[in-house]
Amino acid sequence: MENELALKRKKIFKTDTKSLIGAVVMGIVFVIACQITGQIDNMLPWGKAGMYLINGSCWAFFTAFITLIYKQPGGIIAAEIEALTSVMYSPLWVAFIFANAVGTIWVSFVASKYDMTKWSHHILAQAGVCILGNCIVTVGMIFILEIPLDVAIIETLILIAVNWIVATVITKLAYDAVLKSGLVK
Amino acid sequence: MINVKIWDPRLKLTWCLFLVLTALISRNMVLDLVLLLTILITEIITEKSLKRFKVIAILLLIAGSQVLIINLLFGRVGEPVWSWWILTVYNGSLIASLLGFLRICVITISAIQFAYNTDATDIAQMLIKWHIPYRYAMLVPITARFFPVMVNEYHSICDSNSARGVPCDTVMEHIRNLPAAVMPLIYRALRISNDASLSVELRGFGRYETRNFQKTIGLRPFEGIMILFIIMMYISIMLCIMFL
Repeated sequence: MENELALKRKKIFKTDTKSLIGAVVMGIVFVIACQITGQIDNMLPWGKAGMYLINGSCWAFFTAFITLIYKQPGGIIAAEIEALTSVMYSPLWVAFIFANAVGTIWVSFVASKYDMTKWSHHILAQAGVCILGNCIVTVGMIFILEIPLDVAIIETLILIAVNWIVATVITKLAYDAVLKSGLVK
Repeated sequence: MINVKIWDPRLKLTWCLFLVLTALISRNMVLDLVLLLTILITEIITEKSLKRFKVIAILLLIAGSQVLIINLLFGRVGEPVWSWWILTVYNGSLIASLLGFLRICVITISAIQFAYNTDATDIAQMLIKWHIPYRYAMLVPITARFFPVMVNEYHSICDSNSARGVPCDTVMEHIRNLPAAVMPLIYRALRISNDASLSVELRGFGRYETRNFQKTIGLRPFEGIMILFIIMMYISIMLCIMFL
């Protein structure tokens, strides 16, 4: 039975109505959480320098979490809802369109190979989300915001380091909690 | 007042993409300024005021100030114009900050103008015209429908926390209580999505290949010509940037 469940989890696509609607609703939660954490970062000293540590961790967590629950195309739908709605609070929304898509595809790829029960699986999933996603956002920072290259690279390295650790811990704990609740099968 | 809402969403999307893509390829401050003024003029012509941009203007000023601070502190382009202790301000940094600020203004305000002027159902119909199955296209109006629902859910969680003795009124209190509010919000989202998916299934969502709409969209000749004109304008600007 456990093996069957694990095999089921390894599917990349899940196109039932519940997954599609669920992705939309979770995408909205994703937007709300990102908006609040963005405000938190704006108040903190590092946020004033453009380093959104809490917001970045929240973004990485939701990108992985929604993809693990609803797979594809649910993951991309939720990620793109966040990217397109982020126009209301971030000028980097153009970069988010690509960053979110790449992040969710990476998580799907990892989830198709592993059953996401161990810490190492989540570390690997978040590695791709944080590194690829933040690199794309860096390109956006350089070309859209005109931030100096060296500053953008240093900011990205700090963001990757913090987001990777924080988002991995939160994703593992939240995903296990949601599976335990039985609300998601 | 011109009612832009009745125009075809494809025309509005082409206009929005024209502004965003032109701002992205532009390295010229004058061009960005012209684009920004164009958006503001079209807004005044269609809405007779700029109050829809009031909130976003504050956010853009915050983002612009962040870009300015970073460029002033770390930018090393151009000639030094002012120096004090270890801090030296270069003229290139000021130009880069201004260019970045104008660009984010154009990108953000044009997208917001599109979002305000386009109905979610029209976007769904536009996607259907592009042969996207309606099960996926309908997710756009569903997003618009559920946004206020989820915001209310978040406020109700905050109210529940307040009733249990954890105040959630000021911004700082919202921030402090965020971890306690997010997991219940996720659980509520899962429950709502279960209920909503059952409801739409009972109404025959996805049962047939096509779906009827009360109001349909159609591209009028004037709108088609406008789209072609915008595309030609973009190509000319791109060629000017590349070869001049």
